[in-house]
Amino acid sequence: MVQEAGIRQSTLFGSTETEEDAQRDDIDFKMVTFSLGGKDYGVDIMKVKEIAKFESFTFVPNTQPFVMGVYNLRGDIISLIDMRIMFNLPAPQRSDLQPEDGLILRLDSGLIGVVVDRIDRVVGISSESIQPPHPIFADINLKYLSGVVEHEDRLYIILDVERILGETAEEPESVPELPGSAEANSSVPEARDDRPAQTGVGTTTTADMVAPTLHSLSGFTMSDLNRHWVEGRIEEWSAGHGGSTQITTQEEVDEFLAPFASPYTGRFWEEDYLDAVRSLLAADLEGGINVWNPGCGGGYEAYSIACVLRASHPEARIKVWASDNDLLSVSAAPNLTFEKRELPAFYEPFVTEGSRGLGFNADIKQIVLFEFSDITHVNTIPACNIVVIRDILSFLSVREQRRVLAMVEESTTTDTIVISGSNEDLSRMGRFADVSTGLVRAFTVQ
Amino acid sequence: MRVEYINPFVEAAHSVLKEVLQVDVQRGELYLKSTAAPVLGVAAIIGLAGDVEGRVLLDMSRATAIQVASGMLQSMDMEPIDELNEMGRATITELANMITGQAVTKLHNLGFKFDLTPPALVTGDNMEISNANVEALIVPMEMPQGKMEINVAIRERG
Repeated sequence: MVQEAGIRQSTLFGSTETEEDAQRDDIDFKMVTFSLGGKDYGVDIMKVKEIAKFESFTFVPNTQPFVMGVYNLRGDIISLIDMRIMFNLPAPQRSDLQPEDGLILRLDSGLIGVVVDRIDRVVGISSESIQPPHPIFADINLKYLSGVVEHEDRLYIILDVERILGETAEEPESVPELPGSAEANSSVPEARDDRPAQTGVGTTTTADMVAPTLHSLSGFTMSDLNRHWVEGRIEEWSAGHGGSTQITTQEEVDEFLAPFASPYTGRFWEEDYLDAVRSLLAADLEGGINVWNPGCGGGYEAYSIACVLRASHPEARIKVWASDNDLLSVSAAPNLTFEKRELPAFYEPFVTEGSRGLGFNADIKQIVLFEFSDITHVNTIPACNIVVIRDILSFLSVREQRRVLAMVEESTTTDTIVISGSNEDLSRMGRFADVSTGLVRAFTVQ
Repeated sequence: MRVEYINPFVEAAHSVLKEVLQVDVQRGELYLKSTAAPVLGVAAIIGLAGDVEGRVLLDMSRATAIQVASGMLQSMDMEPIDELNEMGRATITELANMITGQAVTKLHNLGFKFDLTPPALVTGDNMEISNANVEALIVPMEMPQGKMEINVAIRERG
């Protein structure tokens, strides 16, 4: 592979005896270096036609997410590719006004533009100092690497652009995973944690390509928690969109994620959901019931669980700790009022007519305690028998997901029921056993 | 922090500052801060106990503290100060007392029982305050004298 790295530059200086010149003599390979996601990469200079700033390119619909569009290069129309999206690296939010740094490459198949984080400089090295990529980058990744080289204390990964970009035209499904992305991730853990999780080395799926878009437009983070759902949804989406897995706009992301929401999000739980919750509750909760309900929003969830507990345990001491980081919704929650037609019959015994409309009675209001709180901050959570944490983990970074679940594991017992979002599988993220029933997705801590 | 506690502190801070300084006071966007928070330079701390545990912190730069204290003194026909002397410190302490006292009165009317500790004034550079495992609500207040942050961290008794 090292040998394939490209045409060697002829040496510029004749051989002399001085050390300096001897060093220069060795320079027979020049590469243009640039950074992607905080790591340094190089491309053989002979493949680079020019270094460019791309502005006002034309978006092309129905293409792979990493295709930014086409660009008019003094009359030649060339395709523009975002390497960061291609390799699942964090891409900064782009603004239309800002020109993007990039390279125009001259490949066997023609000209192509690639956008990178930042162009660094041209580095001359000796081709002998290029080391073959470590076998730790599994086979599929090795294919796209010319080698690794150290220069002035920086490690450059030399990409074989001919292979990466030459092939994607024919094989759009097998986008290369970033060579050495595992290594890049360990050196920048922060960046990794905020990005959606990836599958094992070398197998980049359609889900991995969709995930960055979902993350940047809606904050949805794909991880082991919801990967199976995303994969299933892509199949469904593709079937409904003539085989396309194109998801790029806000509308498309919203439509894609719409079925993710658990039943009765933002309204009161109804009989079918209540039944399932009832069947999960242990009979001997008379000693006192504590519920933790982060991400309660306007409070519908918290009131629903409070009422179902009060109905089944009329004498128990019940506390529901509900919290949200949306100040407006959560401040309105303690005085939630609603129309009679919004209210399923089950809740009627717990409501009373107030001056501003129908609201919950004093007993239920006493049970639910609303807090303005951000789950990503370090907080103590009460020791609880029931946790209602629906569709909130998927909108945290992977690291936060793990931290919150570890906190849940710590502050609960084996009798604790954890009600999660319908499409979130906690058993893949920790010591949780699936005890789902009916409409309710639930887990116990093992 | 319980949402019922938020408004009393916001209202008390706004109305007390407006009253004692006789100026226009703008409230900034409320937000939450995690445990360790830097202190701007002058901090008056009042502890809360009762149904809850926590504290209220009035946080401002030294220059703002001098301006605010001067403003309060002048409104009572007293000499303004140009350094944070004993009179200045006592004035800022009293301001913290007034704001927290008024907030706690409002909370009493809503049925929450809070007790207060006497205020303590802390001054210095590069200070940081940390409370184990409680996030703080920050109420920023903008006045012609400068910026003041009311930093409230309250936890329910478990």
